[in-house]
Amino acid sequence: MAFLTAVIVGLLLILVFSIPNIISNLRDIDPVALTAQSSLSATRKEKESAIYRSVDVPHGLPLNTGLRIQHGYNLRDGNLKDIWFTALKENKTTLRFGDTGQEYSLQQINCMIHQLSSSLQELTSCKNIGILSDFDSLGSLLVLFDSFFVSDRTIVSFNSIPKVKKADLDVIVVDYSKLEMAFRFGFKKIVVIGDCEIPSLPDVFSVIKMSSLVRLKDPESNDSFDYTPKDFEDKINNQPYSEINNFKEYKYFQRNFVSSVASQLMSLSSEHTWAEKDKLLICVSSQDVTSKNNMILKLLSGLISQVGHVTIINEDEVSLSQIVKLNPTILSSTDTTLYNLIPKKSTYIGNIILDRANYLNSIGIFNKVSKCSSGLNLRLVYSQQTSSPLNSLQYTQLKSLLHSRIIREKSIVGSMGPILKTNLFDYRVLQNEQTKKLTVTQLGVSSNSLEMKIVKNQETDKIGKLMIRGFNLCKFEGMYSDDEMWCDSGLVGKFGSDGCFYQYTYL
Amino acid sequence: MSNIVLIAVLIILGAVVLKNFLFSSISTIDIDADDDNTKSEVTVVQVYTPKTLYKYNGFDMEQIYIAVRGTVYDVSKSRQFYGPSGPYNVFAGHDASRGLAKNSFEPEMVKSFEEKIDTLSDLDASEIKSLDGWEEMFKSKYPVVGTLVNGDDE
Repeated sequence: MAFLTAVIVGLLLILVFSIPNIISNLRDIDPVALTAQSSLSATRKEKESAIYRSVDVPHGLPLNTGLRIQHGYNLRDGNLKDIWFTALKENKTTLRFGDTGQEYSLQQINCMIHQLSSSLQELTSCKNIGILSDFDSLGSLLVLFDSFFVSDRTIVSFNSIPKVKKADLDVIVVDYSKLEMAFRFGFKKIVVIGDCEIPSLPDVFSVIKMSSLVRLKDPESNDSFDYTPKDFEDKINNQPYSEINNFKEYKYFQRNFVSSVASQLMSLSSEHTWAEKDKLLICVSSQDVTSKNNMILKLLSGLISQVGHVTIINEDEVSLSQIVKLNPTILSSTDTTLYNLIPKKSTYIGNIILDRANYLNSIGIFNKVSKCSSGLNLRLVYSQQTSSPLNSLQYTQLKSLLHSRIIREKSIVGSMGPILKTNLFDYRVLQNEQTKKLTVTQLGVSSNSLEMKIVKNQETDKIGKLMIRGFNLCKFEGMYSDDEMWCDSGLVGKFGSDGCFYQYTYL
Repeated sequence: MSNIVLIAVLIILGAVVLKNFLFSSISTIDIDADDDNTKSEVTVVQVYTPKTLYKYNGFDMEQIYIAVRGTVYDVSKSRQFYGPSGPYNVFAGHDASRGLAKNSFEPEMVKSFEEKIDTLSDLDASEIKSLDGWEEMFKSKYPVVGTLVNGDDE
């Protein structure tokens, strides 16, 4: 008996003393890897930081500029039509929208965008087409796809009235809920998305339903797409998309799209990359203007990586039960919506399970034991950080609840997709993120298609303005602050010793 | 008696394991958000005069800087060429433009730190072309750490 007890005690002692080793082996990533997440330039200017890049694209290597499509012995950066060409050729993806609830194959979408292209050609001869939509409906996506892939028009998305009236534009496509706004913007030819009654209007207005331009119910399939890279490279519309924000026009070029798609997908190792087996759920926010660009980026990334299903819904419709029902493996949403998924009340046992999962996730152990909800098959969650971001503790709770790795992304007005992203494996819960006067938010390292630095007022200042330059930034009036093409991101903070940018918000 | 002690030890150890695994509170870390001013490996771009540049010769100072057409490059990573006893050591801490243009490593190709910066006005077309080639190589290979200007007393 004494011998047996001694053996058990011995085993327990070994277990107690080997806990640090067990934890280290169970961790996703060595903590040391999280202490050096950026590549720094060898030099810096006075009152400025060094130039920071993600370690994925260190100094000495080029930033991600495009899709790197092989063409003979050359690599091309590609354009939007390459994305549709590749996706349609494989035809593995289906699209589903919150408004119709119906699922469409890419060949059906292809048929619809060609129909829409012909109808719009009869309606207008202008090279631009306006849109006033949240981009969460089939109709708005068809207009977007038509401009990007077929008609070479420039689509102008209105988030505000422009200071100067946009030339060569006479038709606007609007969500039914935004019809009033279209009248106020002074448009006479309006295409309405949605199954609705058109109000009686004076003859000067011409309001047409989207369903009269294209057959939306049970569309035919069509796989013909007139595109050969060699012949079309010089003919494509280099500026297919514009946004009107704060009365200014933000112009997006082909390079912005392909570099941000490349940056999005090349940030992941082959083990975690988007694949055919994935189901992508994109939640679009009506409140956040950067949400539209994020939706476009995620959708294009989904198309080129040929994920099985893409679902686009408005964030107002998002709930935990809805996510369980749609069963996505990749989810993109704003942080506020994600945080609302955390149940506010739980049982005593439920709390113990959640605390244990939070503890394990906070030390970097991500396995089935650190999971506290069932019915979800998420593996990647992209959280768009808004103006009231979550703290690292809240992200740990989300990680436990969704049992998925979370990448936090920060976009600004004028960027196609995020300018900052956090490490896929980052598990750290930070101290002192919130004081009475200050909130410190970890925003991560730069996206793979841009580089950044901090400019301070004085050499001794701790914090400064974050300046960025790169390929996923659009062009707008007064964007450059100097002749080296640096652009003010509007964010203030400093780089931590781990290479991440920390935003400082004074309350 | 001994059994009771052993059982007590067992219970304590079991409690420690349980506490560590089941009831631990969230582990937090303090991110020391020091900016890169503290990182000594990041060099501040600044203005050099021949006199202040001179000491960056790999002997007086560990770093080796050389100037080409008014731009100062950090060539420390090629210490075997520009460092003490290296074949191009004559350029270390100096304006190397004339020597590179003439493809000559003779001591008279560099000016003393007390003299004004070489204007290179007497170079012929082939020498300028040679200097262009060297300058391109320096731009692509070495980080720029500053500019070279004449000092006030020169």
